[in-house]
Amino acid sequence: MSLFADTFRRDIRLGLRRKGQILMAPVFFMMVSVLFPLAMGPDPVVLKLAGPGLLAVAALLAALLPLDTLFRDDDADGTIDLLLLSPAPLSLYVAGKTAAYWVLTSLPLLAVAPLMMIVLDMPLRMAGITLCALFPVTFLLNLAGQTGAALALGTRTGSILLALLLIPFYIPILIFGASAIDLARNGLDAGMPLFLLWALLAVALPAAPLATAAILKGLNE
Amino acid sequence: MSNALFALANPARFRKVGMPLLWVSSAASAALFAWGLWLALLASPADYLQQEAVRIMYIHVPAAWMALGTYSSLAFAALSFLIWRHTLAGLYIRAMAPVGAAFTAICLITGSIWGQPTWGTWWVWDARLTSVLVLFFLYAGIIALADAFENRERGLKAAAWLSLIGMVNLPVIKFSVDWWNTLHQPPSVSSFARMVEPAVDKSMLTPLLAMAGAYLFLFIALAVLRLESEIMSRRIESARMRRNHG
Amino acid sequence: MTKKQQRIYAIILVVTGIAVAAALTLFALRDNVTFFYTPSDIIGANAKNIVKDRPFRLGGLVMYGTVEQDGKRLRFIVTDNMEDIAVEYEGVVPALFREGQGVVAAGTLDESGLFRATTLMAKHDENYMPPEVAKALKEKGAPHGRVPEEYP
Repeated sequence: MSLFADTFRRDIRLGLRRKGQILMAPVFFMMVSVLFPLAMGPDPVVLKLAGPGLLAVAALLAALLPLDTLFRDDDADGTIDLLLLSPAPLSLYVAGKTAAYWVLTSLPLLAVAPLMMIVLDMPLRMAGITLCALFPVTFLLNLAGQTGAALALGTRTGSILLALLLIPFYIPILIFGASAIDLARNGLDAGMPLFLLWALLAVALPAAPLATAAILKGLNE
Repeated sequence: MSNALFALANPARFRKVGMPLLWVSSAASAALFAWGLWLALLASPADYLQQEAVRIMYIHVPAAWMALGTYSSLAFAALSFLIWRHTLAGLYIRAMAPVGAAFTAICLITGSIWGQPTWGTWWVWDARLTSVLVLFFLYAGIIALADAFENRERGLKAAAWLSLIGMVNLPVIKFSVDWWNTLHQPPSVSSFARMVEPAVDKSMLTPLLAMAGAYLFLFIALAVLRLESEIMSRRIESARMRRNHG
Repeated sequence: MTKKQQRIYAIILVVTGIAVAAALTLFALRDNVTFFYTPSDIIGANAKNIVKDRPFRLGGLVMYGTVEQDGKRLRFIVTDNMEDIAVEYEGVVPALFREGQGVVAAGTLDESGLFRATTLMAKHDENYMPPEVAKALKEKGAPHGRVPEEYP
């Protein structure tokens, strides 16, 4: 278990030193959310229709953006090779990295989400339910993302390749997240998609690090 | 069966069997395409509802079958590459992903052309069309991933993992028309009940099956040809390495 | 455990994990992936939890004898044999639009319960046959529930 805690602590510390990189994801999220109303006009009818979807797409793009750096440094300096040689379970290391990555990139995104709701003309009383949807959405995006990052580890074309690999797997997450916010936005019961997002998270939380560790091991054999 | 496959997994042995297979399947494919296209475009009747547009189906449906079939074969190759380390299986993924992508593209494009007069729209985001588009993205991802590494072996492994993970999309495509309300119609030929009493009239089933055969032999010919060229390019590379470093 | 066994277990693990996640996703997508709603999803006792005051797609069969053409305006009733909704549409009608055939219309439901469609799409079924066969089937009284409408 200490491998998880150590990796988490180390990555948080490293992340806090590079403030520019942490701010990249929430700033990107804000930029995307602001560009749409600018491009489509601030008509409330249009925003009511498109707002929830835009919020989900912006979260997806922001989660994708810094993903290719996830394992890059650890691969370059040999950390992963050393861990592969050691008896410690690699999945704990992967889980630690994902947790730190979520705290560094997605947590600030959740923090600015209410601000973006104002921009997209969504009532602030929806903030609770929106965060309730965005929390599992960002986590699921990261869990799928880490698997993709492990697959593409060692390539030069990073981000674009990752987008290509991951979009098929991001699609269901996007559909749910958007529909939960959308149902809530229209005053309907969003229970069903929300429940399933959380159920999906419950499955992916243990499964994705194991899968990613298996892939890292397989690729480095 | 599996012994025969294992024996074939040896590249040298593969080449011996490959050449005759290439000739036979190319000839069969050409003959079936000639017969099938003649039936499909000229000799078969128009549909009672779709009229002449039904002829697009003879190109579209077999392409869809091959798109799914090629992906299943990729996943099977991925499994045997990851577990038993069959070199040929790894090369197969690299060789056939573009072929699968091409079948998928043909399926999407012809489907779109058929949809315009029949449904009244080029494209809709229903579950079937979307999941086939996702299949195309998956093929694109596999192609990109296999080529993205300096180390060829690693590219093959990563592509194999992705092919395996992407398998989840196949049942989604197959059953999307049964599980959800879609604009796309349910299958006419494939399900068991339909075998006894197909929803396609015999005069239309014959050209469809002829075209399916033509596609299948085309697939075999392309598989042999592309595997052969993968093996060759590998040899060239290792010969070059030997000359530079030896 | 040999290397090969390890690889097999790793692969089984990954594949089952993904399969479970996919099964959950599919289960959840049931209501969200629907391309169109049938009339009984919209009105009546089994109406679903969907947003009705914005554009959605309505699908079903065009009820026999309800198609009225008034200049450019087309009116008909869409049914799923449980509930019916009247549809009004103005525009290009797809070639396959017929009574008794499947249809998908996109538009909005107004207060009076009339569905105002902005696009109309015809849904084709899985039956393919030449006109003569369709005619013969019609004369024989359409065995497996197919009623070809081309030759009344």
